[in-house]
Amino acid sequence: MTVPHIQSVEEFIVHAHALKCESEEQLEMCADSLRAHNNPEAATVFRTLSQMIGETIQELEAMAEGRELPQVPPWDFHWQLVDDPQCMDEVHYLINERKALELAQLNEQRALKYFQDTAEVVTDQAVKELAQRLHDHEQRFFQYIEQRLQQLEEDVAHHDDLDPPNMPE
Amino acid sequence: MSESDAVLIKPKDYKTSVKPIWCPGCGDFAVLSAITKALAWMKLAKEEVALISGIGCSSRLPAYVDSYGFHGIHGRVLPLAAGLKVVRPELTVIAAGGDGDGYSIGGNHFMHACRRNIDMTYIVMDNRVYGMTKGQASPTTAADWDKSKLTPHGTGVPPFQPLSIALAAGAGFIARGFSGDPNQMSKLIVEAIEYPGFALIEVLSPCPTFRPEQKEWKHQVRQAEDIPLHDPVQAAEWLAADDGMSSGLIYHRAHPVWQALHEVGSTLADIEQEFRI
Ligand SMILES: Cc1ncc(C[n+]2csc(CCOP(=O)(O)OP(=O)(O)O)c2C)c(N)n1
Ligand code: SF4
Repeated sequence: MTVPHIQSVEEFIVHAHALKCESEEQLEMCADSLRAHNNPEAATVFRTLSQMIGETIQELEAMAEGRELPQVPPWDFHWQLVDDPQCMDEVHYLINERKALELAQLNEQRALKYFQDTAEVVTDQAVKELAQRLHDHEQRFFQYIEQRLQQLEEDVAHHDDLDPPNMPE
Repeated sequence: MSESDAVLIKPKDYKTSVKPIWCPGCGDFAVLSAITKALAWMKLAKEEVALISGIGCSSRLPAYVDSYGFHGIHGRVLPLAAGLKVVRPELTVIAAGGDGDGYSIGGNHFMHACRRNIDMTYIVMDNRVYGMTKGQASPTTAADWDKSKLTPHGTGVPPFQPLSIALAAGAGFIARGFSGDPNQMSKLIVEAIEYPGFALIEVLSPCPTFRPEQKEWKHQVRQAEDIPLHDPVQAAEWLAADDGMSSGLIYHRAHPVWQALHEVGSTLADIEQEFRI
């Protein structure tokens, strides 16, 4: 992947903010949906992770205060060039905590890669430092998931759906 | 919108606190996301937007968007939205629903809404099934889909072609979006809102519960490159040759917009005056 050049900290804040808002939204949607489908364990995993992302969003919003920000339409964000694993359509109402953690991990790969690539290619020192910091946040997020995964028992295979929604003839 | 502004765009601000009850993985989540992104990008005031729907899983949308909303009755989304737009022309009216709601029970309204050309946006979340009633075939279901108990040998009927029908009925804005690409969809929604007239966005929005095979759409949908077309004959040919998996703004052409002859605020007596002999 080639990340297009970010010209200023302001431009990068706008990109990073939209990216993290999108991640947060995806995790929240999974949490809400699993909650509604009576799977509180997996819902809590997604909720906790979305709150962690919310902290980064708040930090970016605080940084944006008082700055003149460029307006980038949702369809022009550079990070869309990163291969999107689109894992959220793999969420099933019977998933367990392990699967929820693995999907959240997959969901966050895009941000991890975007921040890493940006930190590598940009020349502006302030953008580089911010990209590095956000990359560190991502790594902490992944470490947290790793720790949680280690605490869980070995994977108990995907539950069988005893009441499938559609019975082919 | 100015080139530079001091605020970050927050689509989340356009969501209500009502939590969607769609199945995990439902494509309609992405449509909700695309709508809120479009509204946030356009900085539309919440009280200037009305989201109208019919009945179905997809039609639950108005509950989740923080604007005016009306969850109507099955198949009647377009007359409700049209009525609202005619009496409140200053509102941005967005109609939304499913393929069953819009093309089956609401099919007649669909054709006439295309022809009447009232200024509004119509988003159809097409999952080629009736999701809410547990997976029966809809007008856009392939003839040989035999997974419903109601049609154990398939419907045996060729699927309805909504975009070709919209074109033939006179629609001037015809687009196809995909739930796997909500950002691209938000662009189509912005363009549809800005289009003066009836704007149709058909969204390929998978129902993983009753059509799990639609998860494959993400490998099949592609953005078309040779569009938008402006000539109806070319557009008809293009649509006839398309496999239904091309996304983007397909057809764009200006048509006269229908408006009420009477001023907003006219009384019944004013209107009756014209019919006096
Ligand atoms: C007058 C009437 N007829 C039938 C129904 C039952 N009904 C509810 S939703 C629905 C179809 C929904 O399919 P679609 O519009 O494709 O929406 P989805 O649930 O797939 O999003 C039907 C037939 C109804 N509610 N009202
Ligand atoms: S039944 Fe299908 S359309 Fe309805 S919420 Fe579930 S996945 Fe979505």
